[in-house]
Amino acid sequence: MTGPYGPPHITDTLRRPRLFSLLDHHFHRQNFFITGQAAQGKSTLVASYLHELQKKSLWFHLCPDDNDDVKFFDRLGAGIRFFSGIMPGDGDEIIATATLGTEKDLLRYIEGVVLMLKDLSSPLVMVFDDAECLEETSSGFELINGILNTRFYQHKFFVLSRSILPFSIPRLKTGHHGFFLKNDDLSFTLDETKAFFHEKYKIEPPDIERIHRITGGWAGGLTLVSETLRRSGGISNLPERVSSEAFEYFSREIYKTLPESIREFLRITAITDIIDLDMVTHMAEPVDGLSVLTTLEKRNLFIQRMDSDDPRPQFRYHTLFREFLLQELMRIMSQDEVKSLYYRAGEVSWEKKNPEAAMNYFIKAGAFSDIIRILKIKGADYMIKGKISGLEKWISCLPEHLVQDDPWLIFFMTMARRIRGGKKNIRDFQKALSLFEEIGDVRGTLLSAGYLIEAAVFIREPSSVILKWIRKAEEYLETMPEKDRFPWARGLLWQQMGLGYIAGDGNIPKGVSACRNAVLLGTQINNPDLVLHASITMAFGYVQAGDFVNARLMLEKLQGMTREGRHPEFRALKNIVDIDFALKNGRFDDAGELLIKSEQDIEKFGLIFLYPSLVEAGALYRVYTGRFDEALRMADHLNDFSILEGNDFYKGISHRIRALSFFKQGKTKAAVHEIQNALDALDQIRKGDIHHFLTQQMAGMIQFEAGDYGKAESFLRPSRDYFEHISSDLSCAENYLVSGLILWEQKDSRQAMLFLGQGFSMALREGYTFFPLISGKFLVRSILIRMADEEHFPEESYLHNLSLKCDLSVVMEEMDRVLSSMKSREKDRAIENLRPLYKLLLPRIRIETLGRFTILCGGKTLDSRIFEGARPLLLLKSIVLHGSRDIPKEILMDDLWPTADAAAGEKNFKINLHRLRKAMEPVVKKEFGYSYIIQKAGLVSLDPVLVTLDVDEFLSLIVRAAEKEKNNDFDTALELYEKATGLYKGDYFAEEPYLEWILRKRELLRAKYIEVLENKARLHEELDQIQKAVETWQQILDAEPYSETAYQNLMILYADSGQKNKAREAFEECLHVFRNELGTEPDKETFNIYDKIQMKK
Amino acid sequence: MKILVIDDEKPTLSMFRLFLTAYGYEVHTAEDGEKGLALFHEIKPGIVFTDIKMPGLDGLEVLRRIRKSGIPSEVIVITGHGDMENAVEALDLDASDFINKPVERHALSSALARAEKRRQMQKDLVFEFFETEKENHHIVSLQGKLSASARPLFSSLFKTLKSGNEKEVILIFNDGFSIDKSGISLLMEVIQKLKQKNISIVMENLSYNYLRIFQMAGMDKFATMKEALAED
Repeated sequence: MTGPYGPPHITDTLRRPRLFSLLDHHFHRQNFFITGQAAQGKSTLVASYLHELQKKSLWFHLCPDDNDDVKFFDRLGAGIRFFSGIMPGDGDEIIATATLGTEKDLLRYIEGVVLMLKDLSSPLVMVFDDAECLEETSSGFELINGILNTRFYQHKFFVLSRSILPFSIPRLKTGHHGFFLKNDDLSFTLDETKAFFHEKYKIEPPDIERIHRITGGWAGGLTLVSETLRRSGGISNLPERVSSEAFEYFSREIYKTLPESIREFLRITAITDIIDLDMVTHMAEPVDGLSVLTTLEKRNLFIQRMDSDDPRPQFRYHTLFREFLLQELMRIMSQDEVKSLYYRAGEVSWEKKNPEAAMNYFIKAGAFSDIIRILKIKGADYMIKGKISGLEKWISCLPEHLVQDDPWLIFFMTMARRIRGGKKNIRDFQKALSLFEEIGDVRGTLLSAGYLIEAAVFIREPSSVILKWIRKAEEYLETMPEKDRFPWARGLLWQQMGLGYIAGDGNIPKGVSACRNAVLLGTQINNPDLVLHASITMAFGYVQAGDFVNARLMLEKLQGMTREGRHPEFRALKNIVDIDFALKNGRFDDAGELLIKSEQDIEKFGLIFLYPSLVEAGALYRVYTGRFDEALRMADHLNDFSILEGNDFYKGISHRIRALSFFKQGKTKAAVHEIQNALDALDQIRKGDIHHFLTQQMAGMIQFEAGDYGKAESFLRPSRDYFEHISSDLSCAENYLVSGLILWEQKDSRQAMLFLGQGFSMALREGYTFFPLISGKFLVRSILIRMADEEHFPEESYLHNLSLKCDLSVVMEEMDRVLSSMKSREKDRAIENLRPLYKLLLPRIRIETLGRFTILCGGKTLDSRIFEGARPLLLLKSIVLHGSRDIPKEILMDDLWPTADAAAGEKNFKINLHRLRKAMEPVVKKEFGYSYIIQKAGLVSLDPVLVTLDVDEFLSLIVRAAEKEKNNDFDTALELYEKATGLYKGDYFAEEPYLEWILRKRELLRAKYIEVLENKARLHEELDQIQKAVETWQQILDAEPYSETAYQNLMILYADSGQKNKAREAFEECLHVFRNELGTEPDKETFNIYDKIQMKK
Repeated sequence: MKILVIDDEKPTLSMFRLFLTAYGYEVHTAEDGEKGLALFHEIKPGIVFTDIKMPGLDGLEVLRRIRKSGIPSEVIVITGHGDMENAVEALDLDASDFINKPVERHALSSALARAEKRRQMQKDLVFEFFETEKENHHIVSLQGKLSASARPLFSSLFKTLKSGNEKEVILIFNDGFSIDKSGISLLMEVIQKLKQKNISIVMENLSYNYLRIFQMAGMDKFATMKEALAED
C-alpha cells in the first residue's frame, strides 16, 4: 500500500532468507514484536518481507504525538478508512466522549479501533514502527496494547522498537499469538554479511570476517562500512569496534564531506520530526531540498522517504542521524538562534493551518504568548470536536502564573482531566467560573457552569449542592444579554443541567425538559455530539423514571447517531430497556444474556449512573425466575448503593423488590411490611410518577392477597387512572384483572366481568403471556371467572392457551374455588362454559389396536390390572370396534353378553362401564363427570378430543396418501403410506383371535394394509426406487406369504436391475411355497415371467 | 493514586470500583485475601480497602501481612455494622481507619480524606500533646499514636491542669492522631477523670469513623464530640 501509510522506501534491499523463513513459520500468529538496536534493519526486514508476500499493510511511523490516544486514534482511523477506500472526511469515525461514565475515554477509543478493524472485509497488516517513542504510561501505548490484546483472526500487527516494550499481554496469549524477533536474531550472520558485500565490492573473505567481527552483525555498521568502502576503497582505517556508539564518528565523516550549504540545510531541517519540503522552503536558504534528500536516501544514509508516490514527498532522518544533526545545530548556533528557528517553524506551521505543530514548536521556542493566543482561538473548537486531550500538554508547558490568572487556561486545563479529575475539577471549574464572571465572558461562564454541574454529579455531590449550581446556571441563561448568542455553549449547559436534574437531583421531568432544549439547540447548529449526549441523558432519564416506552422511542432515535450502537452508554441503556421488555414478556433466557452484556459495559466504562438500574433489573430477573434468595441479596446491595450514594430513592426500589420477592413466595405479611417501606421511601420522589404508582399498584396486589379488598382498591384506583393516562398497557391490564378479582370477591359480578374483559382484551391485543405482578393463582382465577361467564368470546382461545401454561394443580384448585362460590343456576352455566377448558387440561388417551392392544394415558401405558378383569377391556374394544361414536348400548351388550336377558345385560353393562371409566379416569371432578367415555341417551362414545385411536389415524393417512398420489405429489404420498404402514404393527386386536365380532374388521384392515403396501411398492417402481420397491414387496410377503403378485413383481424387479440369480431365487421360493404349503402350482403368468427372465441375456 | 479493594462479594467490589473511579482513583480489585496480597505487592497501592470477613485470609490477616511487607500503604478495614471488636483489633494492627458496612458516603469520603492526609505525613509519629490556655479553656492538641506506652506522658496532662480554674478541656485530634485498643481505654480513663473533676470535655476534629468508635466505647456520655469538617 502506498500513500501516507506506505512502508518506508527501501533502496538497497537485501533479502534475508533466514529471517523470512522464521517469519513464514510463525505467520499464523497475530502479533510480531521486532526488537533491535537503532539501525538494526527492523523496518527494512519487515518492509521487504511484506513486499515479497504482497501483503497490504498500513505503516505507522510513530512519533511523540501518538502518546495521546485521541490523536493516535485519529491517525489509526484515517489509516483504516484509507485502507477501506473511504476518502478523508467521508464517514469519519467519531468516538463520542463519556456522558454517563467515569472511566477514561481511552477504552472507548480502543473499542472504536477494534470495531473498525473487525469490520474490514480483507486482511490487513498494521506496522507500528519506532514504537519506542511511546511512553509506557501513555494512553497511546495503552491503545496499541488494547489492539494487540484483541483476537482478530485475519489481521496481523508488527511492533518495531528498539527495546522490548512492556505490553501487558497474558503470557499464554503472547505464546499463542505473538512472535518475537530480537536484536541477536536480526544481527547479520557471517554468510549474510558476505551476501551484503558480495554484489557491491570485491572483498576478500578475511576482510568480510573482520567486518563481521567488528560490527557484530549490526546492520547500521555494515552500511557505514559500505559507505567507507565507497569513499576510500579499503577497510584498513576501520576502528576495532563499530557499534551504535561509533555512529557519531561515521556521521561526522560523512557529514564533513558535504558542502556547507547542504550541511546547514540538514541541521535546520533536523528540528522537524518529518521533513516537509513546503516547510523547508520557508526555513532554509535556497537549496534543492528534494535533490539533497533523494541523493542521501539513495545511498541509504539514514534518511527515509515516507511516501514513494508523492511528487513532493516527505522524509525523516534516522533517529541517530537526527540526534547527531541536532547536536551540530546546538554547537554552531546560540540558544536564542535555535529558539528563533523553532519560532519560525511555529509561525510557518500556524500559517499552514497546523496549530498543533505550531504550538509544539512554540513550546521549544518558549513563545508562551503565541501558545496562549492559539489556545484561545482553537481551544473551544477542540472542545466542540471532543479533542481536548492535547490541551493539557500545551497548557502544562506554560508558566504556572500565566495559567492561574487566565480563566480559559484554567478551564481548558480542567477539561483535559474532565473525567478523572475528581474534586479538583470542582475547585478549578469554580475558579474559572468566578474569573469569567469577573471579566464578563458569557461563553466562558456558560461552559464552566455546565462542566461544574457535571463534575458535581460525577463525584456524587449531594443534590442540594448540585441544585445550587443548576439554579445559578438557570440564572445565567435568564440574564445573559444577547440570548441568541453562543448556541453551542447554551446547548451544552442545558445538557449538563439535564444531567444534574436527572442524576444529581432526581427531578426527571425537569431533566428531560432541559435535555430537550439541548437537543433543539444541537440540531439548530448541526452539532451531532451535543445532540447525542443530550439524547443519551434523556434516555437515561426515562430509564430512571421507569418509563420504558419513551426510553425505547428515544433509543430508536439514538440508534443511527451511535453508528449502530457503538457507544457504551447507548448499548448499556438499550440493554436495560431490552431487559425490562424481555422480563415483561417472560423471555427470561434473553433477559439473562442481556444482563451479562450490560454488566460488562457498565463495569468496563464506569457507567456508575446506570449501575443501580442494572442491579434492579438483575434482582427482578431473579424474582421472576424463582431465585428469591439471590433477589433479596441484590435488593440489599441496591440498598447499600443507596446508602453509599446518600440517596433514598434506591432504598425505596430495594424495598419494592423485597416486597415483590415475598409476594411471589406467598409470604404476604413480609410483603405488606416491605411494600409499606417502599411507599414511604418513594412517596415524595421527584423521579417522575411511574415509580410511585408502580409501588402503589404492587401494594394493591399485595393487599388483595392479604384479603384487605378495601385497601387494595384504594391503591389500585389511583394507579389505574395513572396508567390509563400514560397508556401503559401492561400495567393497565394487570390492574384491570386484579380490580376485577376484587369486585368478584365483593360479589359485584357485572363490574368484575367488565374489568376482566377489559384486562384480557388488552392483554390479547398486546400479546401478553406473562404478567409480572400477578401471581399464578390470581391469573388462573381471573381466567376461570372470565371463561365461566361466557360461552364464546374473542379472547377464548387466548385464555385457553394462557391457562395451559399455568400450573395444572393450581388450575384445578382454582376451578373448585370458582365453582364452589357460585349459585346453582349460575354454576351449571359455568360448568358448561368451562368444560372445554377442563377437557384441555386432562391428559390425552391413545388406544392402539393394530398389534398389541395398548392404552396410553398422557404417554404412559396403563396397566391392564387396573381394569378389574377382562370385561371392562372387552367393553372398550367393542366401543372401538363399532366406531367409538354414538354406539347404542344394546349393540355393546350383545357383543359381550349375547345370551343374557335384557335386565342382566343392562346390569352387566353398567357395572363394567363404571369400572372402565374409573380405570381410565381415576380422579374425576364431580361437576364435570367422566370425560373420556360419554353416555348420552343410551348412546356410548369416546370423547373425540381426549381419546384417539391408531386405527383412525391409519385409515385417515391412507385416504390422504391416495389423494396426494392422485395429485401427483408422490413424495408426500409415499411419506404418508410409510406412516400408515408404520402404524400397522400387527393385526387388529391380535390378542383376541377367537372373538367373532372382531374377525370381519380385522380382515378388512389387513386387506387395507396389503393394499397400501402394494400401492406404495408400485409407486416406488414408478419412481424407479427399485430398492425401496423390493423392500415393500418383501414387506407384503412378510404379511401375506402367498401373495403371488409380490413374487411376480420381485422377480421382474430383480431381473430388471440385473440380479438374475435373485429373480430365480424368488421364483423358486414361490414355487416351493405354493407346492409344499398350498399343494398347488403358481399361476401361468408366474412361469411366463420366469421364462422371460431365463431367456434374458 | 492507586487503590486496592479486597472483598469476597463481587457486587461490593463493583460498587467500590465505580465510586472510587468517579472520585478520580485508579482502582484495582481482588476477590480474596490471597489475590489481594499478590496484587498489593504488584501494584503497591497508596490506599487499601479490605473487608474483615472473607474466606481464606481474612482482612486482619491481610492487614498484618501488608504491615509486615514494609510497603507503605494506608489500610482501611471494612467491618460489619456495629462490629467494634474487629474495628478495634484492626486499629491495634495499625489500620489507618475502618468503615462500617453498609458504607455511608460520608464515612467513605472521610476515610479517604484521612488516608490521603496520612500519606503526606511522617510515619510512626510518637504520641505527644500540646497544651494552650484560652479564657478558662484548656486546649490540648493530640497527635501520634495513642497506645499503652503513652500512659506516663498522657497522665501528665492532669499535672498541668490548675485545679478548679478550668471549666472546659478541649481535646483536638490532629490529622496525625491514631489510636489502638489500649489507647481507647487510656483515653476513656482520662476523660472519666476529667469528668470527675467537673470539667466539661469537648473532643474536636474527630474523623467520622473515630467518632463512631468513641461513641461505641461510650465516650459520648462524658464528652461532646465534634466531627472534623469533611472536604466535601
